[in-house]
Amino acid sequence: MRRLKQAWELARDFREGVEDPVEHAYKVLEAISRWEGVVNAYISLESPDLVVEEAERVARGIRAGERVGKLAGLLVSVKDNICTSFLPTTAGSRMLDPYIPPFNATVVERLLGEDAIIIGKTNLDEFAMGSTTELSAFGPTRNPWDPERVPGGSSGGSAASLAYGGSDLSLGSDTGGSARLPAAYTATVGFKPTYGLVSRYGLIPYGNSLEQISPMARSVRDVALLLDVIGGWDPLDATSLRVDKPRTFTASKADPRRVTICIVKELAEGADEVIERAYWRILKRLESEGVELREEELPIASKALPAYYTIAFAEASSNLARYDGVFYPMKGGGSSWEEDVELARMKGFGREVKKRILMGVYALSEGYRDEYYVAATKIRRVLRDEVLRITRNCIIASQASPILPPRLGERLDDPLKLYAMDVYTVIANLAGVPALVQPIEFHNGLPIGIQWMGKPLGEEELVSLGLLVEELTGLAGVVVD
Amino acid sequence: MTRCNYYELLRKLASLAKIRLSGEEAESLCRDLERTAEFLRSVSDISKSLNVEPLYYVWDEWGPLRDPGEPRTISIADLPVHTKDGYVKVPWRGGRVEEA
Amino acid sequence: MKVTIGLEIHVQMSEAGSKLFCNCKANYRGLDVNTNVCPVCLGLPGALPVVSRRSVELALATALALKCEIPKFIVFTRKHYFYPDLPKNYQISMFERAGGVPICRNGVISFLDPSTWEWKTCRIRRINIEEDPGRTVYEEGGITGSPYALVDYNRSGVPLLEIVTEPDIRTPRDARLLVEHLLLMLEYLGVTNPRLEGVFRVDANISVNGGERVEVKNIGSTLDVEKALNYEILRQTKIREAGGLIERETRHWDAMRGVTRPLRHKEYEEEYLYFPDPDLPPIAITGEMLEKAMGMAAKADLRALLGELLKLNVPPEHAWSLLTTRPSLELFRKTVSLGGDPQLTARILAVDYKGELREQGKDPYDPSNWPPPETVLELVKLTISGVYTYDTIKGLVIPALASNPQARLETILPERASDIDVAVEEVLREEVKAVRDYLQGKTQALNYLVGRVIKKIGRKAVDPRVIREALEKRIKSAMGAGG
Repeated sequence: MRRLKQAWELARDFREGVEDPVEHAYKVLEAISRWEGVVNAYISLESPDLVVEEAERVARGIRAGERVGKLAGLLVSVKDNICTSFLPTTAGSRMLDPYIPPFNATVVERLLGEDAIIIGKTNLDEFAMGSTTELSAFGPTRNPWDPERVPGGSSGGSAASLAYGGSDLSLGSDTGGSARLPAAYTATVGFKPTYGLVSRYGLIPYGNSLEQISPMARSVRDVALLLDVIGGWDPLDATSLRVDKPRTFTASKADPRRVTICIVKELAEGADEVIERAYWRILKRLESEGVELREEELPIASKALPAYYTIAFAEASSNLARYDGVFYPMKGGGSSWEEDVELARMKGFGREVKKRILMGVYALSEGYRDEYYVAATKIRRVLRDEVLRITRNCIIASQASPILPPRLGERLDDPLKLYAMDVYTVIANLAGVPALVQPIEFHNGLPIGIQWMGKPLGEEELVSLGLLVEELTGLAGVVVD
Repeated sequence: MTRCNYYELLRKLASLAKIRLSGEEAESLCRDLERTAEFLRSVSDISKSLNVEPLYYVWDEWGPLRDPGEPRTISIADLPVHTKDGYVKVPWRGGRVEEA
Repeated sequence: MKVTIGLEIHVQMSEAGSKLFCNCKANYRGLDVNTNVCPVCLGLPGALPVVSRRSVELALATALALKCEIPKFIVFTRKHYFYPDLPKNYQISMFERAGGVPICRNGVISFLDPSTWEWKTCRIRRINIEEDPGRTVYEEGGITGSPYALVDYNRSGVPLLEIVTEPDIRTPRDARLLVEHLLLMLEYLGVTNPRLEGVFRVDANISVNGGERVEVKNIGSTLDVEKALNYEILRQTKIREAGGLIERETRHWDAMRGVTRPLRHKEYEEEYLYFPDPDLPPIAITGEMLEKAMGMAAKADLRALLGELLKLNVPPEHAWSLLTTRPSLELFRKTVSLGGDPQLTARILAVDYKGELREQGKDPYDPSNWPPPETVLELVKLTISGVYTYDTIKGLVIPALASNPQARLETILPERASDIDVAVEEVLREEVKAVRDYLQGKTQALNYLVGRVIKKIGRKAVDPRVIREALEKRIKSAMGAGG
């Protein structure tokens, strides 16, 4: 394990002429060529010449005393379900191989507006449907900390690229933990914002009412930096909240004596013993610093997982109806409209995606809608109201994952075992609240993370707490050797 | 091996979702469907005892209305479509677009 | 025979400016194929819909005009079916169940039968706002046999109103009158231009003598509404007379051949997988919006507008003609407000000017084909003061004006009666021989005299008939006096 300069420090040093963006770009490109063969974090990479050229442009601008953006010279990787007009966007699916969208996602425009260099598009479970990044049409991504293991998913490519130093910052997406689970498995930080804080315009939809594009990085300050750039109202997204741009980067480390953490029994229990022990160790440590610990209950949490999957499947079945071969590269080759569509969808979708579509159709069909979809939305209301009640007065401390990063293939044979990995993370998506996962320990070389959940638009508080925890763990900026 | 109880349902769902399934795929999906449906059904029982309205949108916020603005027109030729005289061409009855 | 008819009317909000969920144009006519498209209306992944304010305002005004119950908020739902013209394979629409909330429930439409001046009513079940699919054309072989479908997405996402009536309609003619009336109302609301090609489509449900309900889809004109329903009544009656049973089915109106044809049966019960569109949070209907919509609806109260005209003693036929041709009504109002006599103004505009436009093949719905109110006022004054007979105005001035509505009146006005009289006197004095010939029975001599008079006046805009009349009258009176 070694520590890299945090991205915000790098950007500062570029601006101050202390570090050279071009030299840095070469370093990152080197890490990519060293690790990609094993890890497979990227689906597509920007050409190295272009990356260096961009870095040179930034360096020239700085030398000439021009005003440069907040992310000038930083190499940002972007999950491949976020539309870029200059790199293919596949969502990890054969259906979209190769599809180049005719527009950029709002977040991508905002990255470019701050002079970020987009270095490539990261691997994911097909259409973000998975928790391990094994279910990509472009092969699995491996965990740099142990290539026999998965990096979590579905933003596993983003997390892995950070963990081996193949990017400075990354954009993931989080529908039920897709940015946070990979963070927990790779000793990186994943920050799912309040629903509506970040525009979804240009995010290839899976579960629209649940998901947010989420900053990922190797430190808390870095995710805050990225959040400030991508967040804030977007008129192109009707679910985007009419709020000012977030200002979390300047948040200061929390004063422990002014922090209250709620330990929600249902979100603390049920994980593997090593994980539970790590969880309690950091909480006791915080308590000794003066943090108040309080106990809370959330009985409805036991129904969160089925409620989450029901809603996600229903929305997914609808969102994925558009892939019929007309506008997208996978063609059916059938000889009637119906046959053509059926063949395109047979060939274009992987098994897990097909299953989720079928389940979603089931949950929405006449006669079953009330029993599945509507029932799940009722549970969602109770859960949201409870989470809003609890987070009004404290930050929830929750496990990030019930298990350490599993080995490749270990979780694939049983769908319910795969879904169970998200048991702690789906709560924040159902309730819409912000949630941050950060590393707290390593166990036998494998990272363990913790999850903090705050109140709606309480991002700054989470960053403050995260900075405090980071100071205690000393795990900011870690990458594999 | 016992016959999967959800086979009929699977066929109907696949037809609604316009997904053709190979025999092998249908068999394994059927078993998954059976297990997953059981798992998801647990929301049904508890929700009956909940006297609440469904929550379809996580925030109790009204949606915005859009005032006139510039169109963000794109060229259809930038998409991987088959075209004829500017129209998008799709197979209909007995036509295979690739051969055209 | 007891006939029960219910209608489902889809009308494009062609005047809404933009498409329902993006800034592409609502009126796509005249544009090159697939040029009025963007990521949103092509349903590209990641593009998101945002509801147009204008569409909601127009729909709300319609709902108020049809006396609907207005909800506190509306919710769009997704309706799923696979079709090449539907880029997302779901249509963003509304639904009264499954979490959806339509813009209108339980309204009523009153429509006029202009042959009896009777007002009839039909209940409105609901109104949805939804997006139009693209437009599909089929190659050789048509919808049933073409090997390819060719799709133009310029129409995709255009805002539609789906207006569903209760089965309160008793005759095919009433069905047509209702649709005509509704379209007129929507025109006054500023929702649509009913004359645009393909701007509305009607599906009709019909049940004859308590038989099963048959749905006839794809009726594209008001005349066809009546035709298609008459055809169905005939078809169903024949089947029953032959001892057959009417099955519940959906049929397609073939306007070319004037027949309905069965559509193939669906494999499964209709299954649209409705649920609220998660990309579109509910939209509040605010007091401010209602107020604005009420103002719009007030201007489209056809019954009140008609009443206003009748109060001015305008004959009902003329009043209805003015109403059904909106530019003529506007012109009528302006002329009357300038002091024009209502009845005469109505007659000029609703009967003769409109008739002349049709005669000349000009569009009476195009305001630029109508003269300014000052011109009309002058015509009214000239008629009333007796300077011209109405026949002169009708026969000479209106045709000239219709061909050039902006013309200055003095350039097209015929010689006044007095000028003609002077010329006639002179000609009679000068052309003694011709007068004698005429009196001896050579009728063509009169033509010669008419020509002389015209030449003397030296202007073209003189009705030869008027001169002929004046000559005859003058000769006759001279004979009487002399004889």
